[in-house]
Amino acid sequence: MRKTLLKLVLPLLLVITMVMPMMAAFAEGTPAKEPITFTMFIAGPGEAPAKDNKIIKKIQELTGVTIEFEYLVGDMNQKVGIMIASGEYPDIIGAGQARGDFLRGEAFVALDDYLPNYPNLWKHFAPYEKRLRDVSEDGKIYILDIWGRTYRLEDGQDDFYEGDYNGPAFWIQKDVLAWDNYSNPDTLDEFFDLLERYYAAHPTIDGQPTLPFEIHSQDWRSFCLKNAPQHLIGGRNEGDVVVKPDTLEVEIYQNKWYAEKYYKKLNEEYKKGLINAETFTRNYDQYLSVISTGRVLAMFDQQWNFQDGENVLIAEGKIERTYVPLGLTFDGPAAAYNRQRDAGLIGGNGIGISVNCKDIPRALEFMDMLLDEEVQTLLYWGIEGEDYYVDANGRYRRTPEQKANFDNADWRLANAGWDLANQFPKIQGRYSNGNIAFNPAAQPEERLENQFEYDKAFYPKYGYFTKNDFLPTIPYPGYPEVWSIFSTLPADNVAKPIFDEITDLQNRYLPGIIMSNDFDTAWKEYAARYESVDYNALETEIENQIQLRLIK
Amino acid sequence: MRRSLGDKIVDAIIVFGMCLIIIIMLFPIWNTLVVSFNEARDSLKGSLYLWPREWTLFNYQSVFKTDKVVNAFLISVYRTVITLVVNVFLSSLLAYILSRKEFIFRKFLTTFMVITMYINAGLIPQYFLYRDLVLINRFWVYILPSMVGAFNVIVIRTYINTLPASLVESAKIDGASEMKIFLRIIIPLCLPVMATVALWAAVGAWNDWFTSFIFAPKQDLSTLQYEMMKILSASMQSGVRQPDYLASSMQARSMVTPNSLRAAMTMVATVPILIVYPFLQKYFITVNIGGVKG
Amino acid sequence: MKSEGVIRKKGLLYRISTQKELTLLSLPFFIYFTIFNYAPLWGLTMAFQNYRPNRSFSEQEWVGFRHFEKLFTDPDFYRVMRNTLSMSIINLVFGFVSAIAFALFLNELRGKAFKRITQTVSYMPHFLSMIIVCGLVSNFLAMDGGIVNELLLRTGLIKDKIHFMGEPGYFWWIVGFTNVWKSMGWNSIIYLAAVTSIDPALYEAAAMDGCGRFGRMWNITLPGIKSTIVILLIMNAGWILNAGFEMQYILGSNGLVLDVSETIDIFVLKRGFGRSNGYAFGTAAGMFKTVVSVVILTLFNKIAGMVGEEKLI
Repeated sequence: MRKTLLKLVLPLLLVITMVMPMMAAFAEGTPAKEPITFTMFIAGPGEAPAKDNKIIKKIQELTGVTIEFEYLVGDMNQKVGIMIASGEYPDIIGAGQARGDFLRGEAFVALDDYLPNYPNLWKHFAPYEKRLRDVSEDGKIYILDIWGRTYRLEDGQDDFYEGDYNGPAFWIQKDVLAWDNYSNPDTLDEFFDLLERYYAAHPTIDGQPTLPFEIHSQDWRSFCLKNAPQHLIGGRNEGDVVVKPDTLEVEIYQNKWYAEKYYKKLNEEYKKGLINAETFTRNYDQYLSVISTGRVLAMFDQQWNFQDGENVLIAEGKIERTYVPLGLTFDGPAAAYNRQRDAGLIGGNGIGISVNCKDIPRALEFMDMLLDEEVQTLLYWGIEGEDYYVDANGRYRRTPEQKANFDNADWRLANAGWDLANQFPKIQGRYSNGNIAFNPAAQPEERLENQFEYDKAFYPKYGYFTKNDFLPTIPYPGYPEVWSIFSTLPADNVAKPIFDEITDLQNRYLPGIIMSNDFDTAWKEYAARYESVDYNALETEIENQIQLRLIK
Repeated sequence: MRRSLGDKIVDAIIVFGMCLIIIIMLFPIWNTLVVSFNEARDSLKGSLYLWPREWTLFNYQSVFKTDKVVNAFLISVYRTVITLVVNVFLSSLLAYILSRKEFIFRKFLTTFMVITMYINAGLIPQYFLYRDLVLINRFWVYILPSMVGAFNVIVIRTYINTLPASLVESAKIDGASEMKIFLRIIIPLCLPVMATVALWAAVGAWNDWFTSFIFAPKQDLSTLQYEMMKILSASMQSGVRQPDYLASSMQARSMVTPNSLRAAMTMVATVPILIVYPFLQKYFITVNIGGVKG
Repeated sequence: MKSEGVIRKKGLLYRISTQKELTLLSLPFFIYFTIFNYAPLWGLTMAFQNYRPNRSFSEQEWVGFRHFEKLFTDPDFYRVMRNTLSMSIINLVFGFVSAIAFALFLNELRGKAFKRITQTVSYMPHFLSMIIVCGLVSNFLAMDGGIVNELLLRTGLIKDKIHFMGEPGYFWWIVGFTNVWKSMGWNSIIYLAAVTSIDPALYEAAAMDGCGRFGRMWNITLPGIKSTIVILLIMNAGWILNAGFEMQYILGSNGLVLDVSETIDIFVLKRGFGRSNGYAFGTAAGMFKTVVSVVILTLFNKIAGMVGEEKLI
């Protein structure tokens, strides 16, 4: 063990000594070993690793750095407002959704001059320099993204490492498809036709009434209600706008023909009894609860949003009641929805070094060290021989006990590096030796082993390997998903109030429209209200933002 | 005293009504207790009312997994006890002063105080004030800002006003000082209302996590409620999980959900304060049989 | 009265000198309120600024009454005011009546242990967070397995299940009921305390006069706690624009009842959230609420004085 560590430290030290003379501040610095504690505020929920966590201890030995976390517990605006007003920042800030406030508050140091001096960091961020810069008004680099940098080997195997699709789709129970002789509907009409037939044949499931189609619409989760139309014409998950692929023109779509067509269909299905009125008033717990009983046949949603409900089905062995994604369109064939290759990092989705930081070079050096492949392996896989083993082919594998350990959140808190590593830039995708980075459970061998018997019989009927294969893939269009751009915009951006206004309008009207006796009149009233909003300004602004981040 | 038949019927009706209220009021806390002892994933299925379906202590283990809770508990106890004593004493004193009809600043001071209940400058100026007073990340930030409460003062003053004015007047004639009147005459007579105010002050101090969140986030000043909020907030993470965070299809059986944690936390945080209650209750629950107090 | 008249003639300084002790004792309280409640009021200037937290006071941009203009000219402002006032009045009326009635009946209970248990249990819901209570309410009122619909259906009171949570007409009453459920017991404590100040001799006299159970409650207990009721009513009326936030947000954020569920606090959060002028807008709205409070307080205080009740000030 000592040897590998040494192997790890030596080249790093070498690099560091080479870098040192370049920077005055750093030249004064002492050797990397001297212990230092950085305070770090994360503007989001989370949990600090235990003090005696074995991996964290190793990282401390390696770098001399201790991170003292403070996670956000209450209201973000209050906490961040106080921080900015008082200027009392910790050393490092995980900006989260408050990135705009911190940037406007001039909380961060510009990293432009520092970054090229750290080889791992520079290699990690150089391809996306443009996106890092365009987040700020003065075009400097303040925030380093911690998610989204996916390393690929381009050996034809990369797609096996993508992990389970958990994005938006029309998710449908496997049993519904199996009952229909393993059909694979790809249009909205076929889909509802299948639901109608299955519902007629199965009015109850386990003695309780079947719920053919759920539309969750509470609060910020109302994307389940609103986001389907963009996909039905073949688009990616941009959120509240559609981007035309060739011209990159932006269009608000909740008042367009394809939205109208979708809600009209829902209105018809509501009248046929396939949609229950209560679906609009179920709170999130109740939504998860009905899913976990296995009597919801289908819904438009993102898998991570209903995952807790699906987990109950898995725990009870009702694998036939779990879901697969369908990439429905109006006229077929199926679209990719959000199954795309290599989205890259967004820009602004990460951490910054505050103006109060006690030792900027040291903090960057720490991040740089964490990005080393061996350190990443230590953080996400653990210690070889203890937490995983390497088989004869050089593949990282885990025994069932080792897997079970990692699935236990409390064990991870004391024995895994995730809670530290997740807050810093990280390697996603694959290491140069071909093994999966970041998410050990998605190592292809392990995924295959973990498959349930039901699935092993189910997917081959379609010639598929996993549920992902229900969706085709699309190449990455060169700009981040619009909703994610949107979340990085500063608070005073012109698009924000317009966006709030149309969001409010949609949440207020759409459930009523779907339940309306007279769809056309209800729709006209809504469309007329929509015209009173100056949404063109939002479209123009988003077009600019896309251009800023475009990487071809 | 002989009780008439009508009296007995009225009694029966009241008792019946109260039993109904007990059931309605007990249900939520009972249900929370049930959820706290039920396996989280099972609770997610809903329809859990009167008895756990799958017993577990796991929710409580998740609450008590760190030793931070012990220190936080102590801080909570200290601040609650100190706030209770200080707030009740000072609020009563001010209430006594303001109950003295002849006091020339009575009207001014009452108005000055009442306005504080309805005006709020916001968090940022408050933070600057506490910083100037060197209260940030100090224990005293739990005490100083809640030493007197306008609402409490008014409530106590109203109670004092119902006491016979002759008590104070005769004491004055005997040459007693104001402080002495307050300590010897007013306090003993005001115990019921002081117990009420003590309860408010104690529960307020005990349940407050916001002060720690904004003004004293330092770990060794953390309170029980703030620790609970931290654990709860961390569990919320699963709702907005990062992609692939736990892609493994076989998760461990042990899992927590925000709801189950919240239930366990509520029980942990509520039981200690409920213990205080009987001590205060005896001051305002008296038995009133046939109009004669027991 | 007479002695007061005599003192008044002697001038202010003389009066202070006769009340040296009271004045000295009240001075620390005056200083305390000045520091902790009045000193931070400079923050109210934010309502007239385009406040940015990282700028010092002198660097702020002043915008006059723009935030107030925005508040009052918003087409939704009158709708949220209607919701706020309606829910506030429902809460005020039902909250007061239920807590007082409960205290009165509790006072009539004979068994000491039973009395204590009833009282202890009744205030427990106060300790549950809003999210737990609202979750229970949603589950009770659900169509899919909700206990209320089941009961109504089985007793034949309704033929089809009622969509309680999706019917705008029910929303205010659901909020009102939930408030009573959560705080009736807690709010009754102060009345129980007030009852203890009633002279027991009064009850005996009433019994002699052949006063019945309800007669005693009506003629002795209720008048005995009247001043407490009046004072609490005045103070609570001052908070009429604080109809709540959390409960309406948790129970009413679906499109079917949004029009009746939004209170002024939710409205201010929505209009200010994540915006650069969020603080300023919130401060302006807070000032508006303060003004309304002061007007209502003054009014109620006057009325109380006119009908011969104890005044707040």
